[in-house]
Amino acid sequence: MLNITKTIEDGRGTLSLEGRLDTMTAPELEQVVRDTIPGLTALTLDFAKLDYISSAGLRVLLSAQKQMNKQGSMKLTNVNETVLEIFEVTGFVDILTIA
Amino acid sequence: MKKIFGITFGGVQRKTLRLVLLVLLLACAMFTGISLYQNRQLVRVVEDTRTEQQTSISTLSSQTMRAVIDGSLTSTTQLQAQLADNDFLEITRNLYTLQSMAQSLLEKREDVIPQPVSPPLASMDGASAAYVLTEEGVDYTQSELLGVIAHLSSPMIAMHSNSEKIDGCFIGLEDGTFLCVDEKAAVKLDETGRPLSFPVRERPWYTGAIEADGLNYTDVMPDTFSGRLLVTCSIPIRAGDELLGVVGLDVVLESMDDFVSTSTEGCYAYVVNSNGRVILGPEGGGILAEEIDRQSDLREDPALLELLALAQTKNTGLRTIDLKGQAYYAVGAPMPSVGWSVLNIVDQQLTQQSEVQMLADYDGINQAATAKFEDGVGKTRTLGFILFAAVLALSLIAAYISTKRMVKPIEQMTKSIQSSSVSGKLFEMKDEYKTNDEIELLAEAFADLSKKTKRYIKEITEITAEKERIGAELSLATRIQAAMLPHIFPAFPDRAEFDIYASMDPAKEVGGDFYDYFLVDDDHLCMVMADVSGKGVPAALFMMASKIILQSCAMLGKAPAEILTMTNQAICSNNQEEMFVTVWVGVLELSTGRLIAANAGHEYPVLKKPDGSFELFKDKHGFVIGGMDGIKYKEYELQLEPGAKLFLYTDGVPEATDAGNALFGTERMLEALNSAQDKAPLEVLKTVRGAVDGFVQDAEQFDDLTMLCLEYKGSETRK
Repeated sequence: MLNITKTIEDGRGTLSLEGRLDTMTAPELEQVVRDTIPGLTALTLDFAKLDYISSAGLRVLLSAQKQMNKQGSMKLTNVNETVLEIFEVTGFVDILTIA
Repeated sequence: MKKIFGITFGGVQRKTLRLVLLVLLLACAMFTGISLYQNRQLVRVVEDTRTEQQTSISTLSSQTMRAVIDGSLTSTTQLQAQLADNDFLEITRNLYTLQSMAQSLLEKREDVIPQPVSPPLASMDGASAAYVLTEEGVDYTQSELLGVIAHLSSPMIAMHSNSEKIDGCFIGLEDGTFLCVDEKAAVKLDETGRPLSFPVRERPWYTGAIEADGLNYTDVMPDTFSGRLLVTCSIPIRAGDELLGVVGLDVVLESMDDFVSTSTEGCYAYVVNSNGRVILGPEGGGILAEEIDRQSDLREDPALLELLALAQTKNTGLRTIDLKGQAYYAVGAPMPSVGWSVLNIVDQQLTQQSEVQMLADYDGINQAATAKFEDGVGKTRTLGFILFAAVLALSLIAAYISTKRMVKPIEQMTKSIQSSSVSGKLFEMKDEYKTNDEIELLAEAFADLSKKTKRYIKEITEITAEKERIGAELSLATRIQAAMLPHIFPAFPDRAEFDIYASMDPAKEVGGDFYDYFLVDDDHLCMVMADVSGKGVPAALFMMASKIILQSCAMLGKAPAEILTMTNQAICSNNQEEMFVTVWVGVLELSTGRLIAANAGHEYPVLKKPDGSFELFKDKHGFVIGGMDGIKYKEYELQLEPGAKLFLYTDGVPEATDAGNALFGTERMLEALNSAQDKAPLEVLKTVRGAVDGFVQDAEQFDDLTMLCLEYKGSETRK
């Protein structure tokens, strides 16, 4: 289960995720990101309530990061230890901006 | 469907027919009720009118009759009484004249010279003549009074001859002599011509007058000699207080007799005297025959008493009396000079005869009319029933035909649908369904449904075929993928330096995880553990490419870091879908136990030293393969002692999830590993798998589960 809360202000978007970002829920985030990202100069992903992220979720993050690299910046906030460990294991810490 | 008399009735038809029948029966019942009511009303009106008319006729008739009778009978009676009384008035006057003459003569009889009188002679007969008769044994020549009275012979003869109503005129004397004037001298003689003796003082008129001491009328009786109906009126002669004789007149009642005898059946005239006795009555007596026979007083009857009492003084007018249980009209009128009354009695039934006749006639006409009317009603009723039966039959036939026509397209549609469901043919719109009503709509809907159903079945068939094809293909793909991985164990039966065992269980038919191991050369074993992002067919395709590229690079004898760098380069150049793969790759120098490895975002490997337990080895991590172009990977070196074990896995193991969404985790994984730390790789994997299954239980396997275990036994064994 994944709940996504979206807020946009002056070309700056925030997506707050709650739950698990896995194979089942990744397509949802992918769709939201695809709809939200055009025209954004900054994208913040709030992971405060995200429990778990799978490789499918990582793929969506990679894709979003690549897109934002072209039009602005993207950062992750409130990343918990479990998720941070996954980022570390997979090397995603090297390409993501984690605040 | 139901068969009646060989005709098939459908449900709609039966219902319609039933409805028609019901409506008709209701209508018929209503009309019958109304007509019966009207009929009854009419009969009642006729009856009422009849009664009213009869009453009216009866009332009018009796009123008219009464008025007529009142008029005629009253005046007639009055007239009769007056006429009769007039006669008596004249006679009475004559009588009084005669009495006074006789009294004055007798009062001065000493001075009067007696006048001779003779006995009756046969020659006297036929003309008015005076003669003398005596009682038995009396000598008239000795009479002092007779000679005096004889002076009245002339006036008496004049009186007699002047009046038709006076039959005889006479004076009886106390000495037994009798002076008589009449035309019937001959009958007073016997066969020898001698006069008959006449008991003068015993005659009723003589005694009656003395008894009455004044004017007296005898009963009506036939004349002693002629038999004519006579009444004698008489009055005594007195000189002072001395009674000397009686003057009398025989009165012929013929004129009164005329009107009395005009009585007819039911219409009677009577003359009644002051004593209530009938003096004159019709022949046979009429209604009062009994009273006449008995000579009784009519006043004994209370109805007559009142009438007669009134009739003594005046005309009673028309009265209704009850005689012998029957109603009569009666009128009485007085005859004052004699104290009698004339009584006319008329049977009411007689007067009502015309009314009765009229009523009967009217009733007859009425009954004839009623009979005609009832006959007409009966005929109308019969005709009505016949008409109703005809209408019923025709309506039912019409309803049958029209419903048949209505239902026919439905029946044909039903047949068509039934046959199309068997044959699979399309239900098509036909002209006979175009009825311009709901049936046409139904047919259209059926045609539409039929088309859609056919298309739907076709689609379902296609989809099912497609699914089966995909299923078959996927099952083939599963086998192909499984076959792509080394799967024959023991893998290297001729190599004693190491034992290796691996397994892959995809969450779906095909997976994105893979392991690989192969000898690069005689002394170098390459091991790969990889996990493609995502699952299913896309992951499997990506995995195949990754595996081949990795193996190709490894087979070039490159170091692990370089293998990863080259592979990343190759994959990134053709990666549109942002797919990536985490890879751990290591090359073990079998002769020395030196392991060189590189990690591209994969899970930490687990190591067990010969005398230790399984522990995570937190190696250096590079970024995932396929994520970014131009990544450089670093490698590291490990020394494996004989007896050491290496356990590689994908995230499917620590991230296996139970029903409560709890992760299996690395702690449980290490626990499971250590519980089998001294066992061969096959057993180690089985133990871990058992632990994962025990944890997950009934929850669905979520991720691919891939494991590899290597046991390094050392090169000495080989030597």
